[in-house]
Amino acid sequence: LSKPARKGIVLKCNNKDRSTAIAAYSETPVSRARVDKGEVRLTAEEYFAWALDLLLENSQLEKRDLNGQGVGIAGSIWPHAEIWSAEVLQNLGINSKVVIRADTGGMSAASLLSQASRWVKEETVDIFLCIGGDAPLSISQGTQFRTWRYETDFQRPFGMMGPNSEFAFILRRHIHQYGTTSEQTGRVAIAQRENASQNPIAYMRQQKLKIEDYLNSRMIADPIRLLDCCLPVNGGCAFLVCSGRKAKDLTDKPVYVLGYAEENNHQAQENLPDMTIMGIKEASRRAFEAANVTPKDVSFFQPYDDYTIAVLMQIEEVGFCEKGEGGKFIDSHDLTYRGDFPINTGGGQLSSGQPGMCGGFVPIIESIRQLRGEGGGRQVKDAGIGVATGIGGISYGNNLVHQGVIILGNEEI
Amino acid sequence: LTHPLQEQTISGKPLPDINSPISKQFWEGCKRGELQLQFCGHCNSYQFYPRPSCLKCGRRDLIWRRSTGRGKVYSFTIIRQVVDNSPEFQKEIPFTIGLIELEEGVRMYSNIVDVNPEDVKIGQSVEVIFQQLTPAVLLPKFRVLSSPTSR
Repeated sequence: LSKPARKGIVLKCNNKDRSTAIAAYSETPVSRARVDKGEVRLTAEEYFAWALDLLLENSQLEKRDLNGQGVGIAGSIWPHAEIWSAEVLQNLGINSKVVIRADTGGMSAASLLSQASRWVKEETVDIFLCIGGDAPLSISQGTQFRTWRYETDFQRPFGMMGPNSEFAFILRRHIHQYGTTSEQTGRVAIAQRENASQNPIAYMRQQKLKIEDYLNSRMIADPIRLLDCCLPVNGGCAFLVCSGRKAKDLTDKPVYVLGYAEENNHQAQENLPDMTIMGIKEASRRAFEAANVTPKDVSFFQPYDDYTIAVLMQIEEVGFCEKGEGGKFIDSHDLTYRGDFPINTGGGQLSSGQPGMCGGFVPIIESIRQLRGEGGGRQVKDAGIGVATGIGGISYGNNLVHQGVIILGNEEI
Repeated sequence: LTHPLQEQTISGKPLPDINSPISKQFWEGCKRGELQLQFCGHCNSYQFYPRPSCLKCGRRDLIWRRSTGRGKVYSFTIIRQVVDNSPEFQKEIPFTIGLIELEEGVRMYSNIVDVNPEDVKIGQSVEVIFQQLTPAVLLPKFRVLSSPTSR
């Protein structure tokens, strides 16, 4: 059907005959399962169902239109099923010609989007549903997480606390090597909280944040503070990928997939990697080249934000400033939705919430919303091209393992 | 090796799988008071954590060699709140975890003990000690070498 890709050839994404686009999206309200506060307590399965329900409501599609097409499924923290796609497909009653599952943590949604685009380009399917849902707050207390051997054998027995402690090591090195300050990482948290105030489904939309609040927030894994960390929530998201042509039939506001690239396990053979180097720089360079645009053309940036330092490092590596200059860049730009460098315009995972393994959808969904002009009170003026990222996979002594960059636009280039 | 940590009931703490064929020799070394590292006989490189093959050349000619047990602090964190790990660690807060760069050129996560966490610095010289977690498991931990004259 398709020719095998030749080594060394950049696959151009912006060929108009073969362009792909996002025709519909959905994002459920989030919850921390505080039933005592009137919040819902649902399971991951229910969030998948809710995300699909909303997607159908938001599009002109009937559920039967999804049959015989492609489905991309993000993992969930619970259930921890090794075979999960079979359950999701049966729960939702979808017959599909292709099914893919992402297990790349925070990069999952970006992986699904890029793979869905390829299946659509190859014309194996016309439309591809990418869907995720997770409910980390509905899991019973004391549930044991089975992770991976290097974590269970060589991290947890020493009291490592998963991503919080991993990022503490990275932040400590960034401070050491580049002089990054708490005030600088704090500005990320504050700007995103302000963005959340204009997002009706952001969990922290009503909690205003000042720099003193950030600096006084308790240390969790020193130097990582509480307000450096994303906020776990329950939630579900979905988007629909199809050809550019098909997207015009389905919506008057298609969002085109201009470029995508991944970098996995950067510095793979290094025993002594520089922990402050993400490697997303490589993915970013390839994605911009494929899209035929540059960081200067970007209207907004939605970096995956499990921690404030992750945002700062991505500003450096995706190409908005030099490595090590992220702190200074943050000092000299307004990061809010109305600023000169808008980031995570819906509040991001730091302030809107991280729906578990579905968290990677958040930057992509917000990008789609902005490019459709549906940002409401937080709409970025003249938004034309946006960049979203997904990063995931806690390493042993390195930066994150999976790093993906997605470039979207509301016009074909 | 008397340390307050040892006085605690340790049953609730996560235990490594000391019988995993990939890292069995590492844990046996700890019981003898030796820090053992994988070494590739094909490309002459050390690696840590233990893997099924050499991360540089992909071959499986891995043998075990004893580390000097000395190194420097590459980075560290002070744990001040337990999140997603055993509540047993609550009793030890605040405690320090370092990423230790060993003389053999590999890095290892471990606790830096017998020191006020506020006094730990990047670049400090440390050396391994072993602390009993259960009768079967000894964990390698690190102690700050006080004088700069240490090798």
